[in-house]
Amino acid sequence: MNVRIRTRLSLATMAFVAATAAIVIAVVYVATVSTLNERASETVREELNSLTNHWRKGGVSSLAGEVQRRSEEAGGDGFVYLLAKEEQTPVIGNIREWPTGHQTGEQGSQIPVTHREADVWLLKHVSLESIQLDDHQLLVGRDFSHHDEAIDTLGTAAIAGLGFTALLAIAAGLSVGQRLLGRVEGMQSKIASILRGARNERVAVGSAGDEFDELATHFNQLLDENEQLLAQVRETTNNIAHDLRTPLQRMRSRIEGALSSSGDLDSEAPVLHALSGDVDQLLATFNGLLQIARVEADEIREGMEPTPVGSVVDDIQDLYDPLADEVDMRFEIDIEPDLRVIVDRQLLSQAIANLVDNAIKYAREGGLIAIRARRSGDRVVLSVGDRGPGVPEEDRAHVVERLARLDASRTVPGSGLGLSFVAAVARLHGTELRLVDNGPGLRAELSLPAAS
Amino acid sequence: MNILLLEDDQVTADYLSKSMGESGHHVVHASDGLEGLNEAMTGDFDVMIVDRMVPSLDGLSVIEALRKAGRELPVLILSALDAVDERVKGLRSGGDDYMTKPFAFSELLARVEVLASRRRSGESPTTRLAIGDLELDLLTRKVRRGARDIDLKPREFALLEYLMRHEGQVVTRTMLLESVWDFNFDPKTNVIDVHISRLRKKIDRDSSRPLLQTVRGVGYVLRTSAS
Repeated sequence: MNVRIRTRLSLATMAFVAATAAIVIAVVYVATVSTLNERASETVREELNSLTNHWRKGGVSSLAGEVQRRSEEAGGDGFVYLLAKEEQTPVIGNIREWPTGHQTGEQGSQIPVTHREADVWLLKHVSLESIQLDDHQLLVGRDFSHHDEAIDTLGTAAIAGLGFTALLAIAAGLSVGQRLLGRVEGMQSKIASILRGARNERVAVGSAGDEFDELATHFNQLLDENEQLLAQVRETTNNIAHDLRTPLQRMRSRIEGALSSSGDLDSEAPVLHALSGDVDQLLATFNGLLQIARVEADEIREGMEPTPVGSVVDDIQDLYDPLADEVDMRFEIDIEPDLRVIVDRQLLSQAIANLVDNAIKYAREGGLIAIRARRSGDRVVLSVGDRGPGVPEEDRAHVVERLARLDASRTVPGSGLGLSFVAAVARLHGTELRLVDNGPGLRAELSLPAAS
Repeated sequence: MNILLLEDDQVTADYLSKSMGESGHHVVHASDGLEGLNEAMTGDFDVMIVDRMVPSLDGLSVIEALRKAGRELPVLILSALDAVDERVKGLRSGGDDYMTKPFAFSELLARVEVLASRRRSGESPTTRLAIGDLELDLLTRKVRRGARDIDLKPREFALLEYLMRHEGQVVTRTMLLESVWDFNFDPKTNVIDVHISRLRKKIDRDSSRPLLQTVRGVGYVLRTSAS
């Protein structure tokens, strides 16, 4: 998309600049050509007038003499003369015949004429003007081929200029695009990294105080505000947590006390056991929520260090193997050798344990817990897959939510926090928990930062 | 045994004093840090339970001061701060064990007893553990019950070693997870129970005197039936 904007911007700049330049050049060209032509016509008219004066003063004979003199002198000046009688029959002059197509009295006509001196001296661009003097016609012309050259040169220069302007325009468009989009891209990549979890970072604000700087400032303000709100929520949550823990602790202690003093045979014992179970479940949910909140608050980042994936998975397999065996499930471990990731080992262990736990709870009939890890660029993709019933695609986003459980699984004991915890751990490590179809079954994927 | 309890919540303190008393232990209660430190320096205790957030001097500072003074009194930290790095901080300051609130009294009792016994026995280097006719050789890594050799997987061996080192003491599932697997979290399923039942099948098979016993609602204990 950025590339498109950049291309569009430079093309638009180019088109605009080129069009402007073309108009300017065209105006100059047309003006120059018409000025030159006008000058040519004027020169010719003056010559014609001066010869006409000779006619007025001395009649045709004086004119003929003057025409002859000037014809002989003309040579390199490029003037052509022709004095003709009726029917445009040449009398004297330096061109052979009356130019075909030129009517007597016409002004500024441009017709090729043939010079008397040489068969080959064809004057291509002659400005002609003629006048009827009694029964004679006088024709004066001047070769303006050198104007053609000038105009050609001008044309070439105009085209070259246009081309150059267009190139400049493209370059300008690209560089402006580069500058503007460079800043947009800078902001974009910073925002992406903030979204990936680098929540303490901020968009760079330049010193120019321009619109981009304003945008960056406002964006940073939004982030700060967001951060403050989150901090408030966290603080409130923590306060609630601490305030609630103490009474819960007392409740639990009192139940335990009552249990130990009453003895198992007492009629209240079953009620007390049930109460104790309820309080435990309450505490477990409560602790689970607090733990997720803490992971999300980034409080555990300092525990991250290069950790061999194989050994973490081995430990989990070791812990769960007998249980899996008990329910006729087996592990299938496929981990590239020497893979290391930068993680908090306890958190990663717990995340994998939760996923394995889920597989054992919900995908027992599939008989398989497949743990895989392979390197992909600077990440390591770790997945836990099963061959159970899977999770319908439309429910996958939902099961990651806190306390969410699918209707079908309500009968299986669990807090509904297992996957939320894994998702929080994933976010802490700058990634998302991905749930994909394992065809059949469910596969949970985590992409973790590889230790180089 | 004598227990020093540093805890500012009166209800929790009363309950702990009463319950510990019922279990045959004597509790001295201090409700602020300075008082706690003073008691610890002057009294004779087998173990100290420290709440981290108490008035005048916080729990960790009390422990640090104790250690600086060269006191080796085993300390169990009892705190609502349960993040992994909080636990690390607590153990680094000189605590011997870390338990988070809310806690089950049975769990606390088990841990306190283990801590106190460690102090009594010291960490005497030993190469052979024995309970009744069950023997475990730490050098050859062989296990025998009477005349029968028992073949254990490495983790089963570690599990049995831990139970044998704490003969007669109730150990909880959480303690086993922490000590044998080095996991500081509680799996939601009964993984530990399965490990225990497998170990039990191996060591108590065909035996009329089972050693590995379940303590309902608390954990497990390895002991001869007589004791």
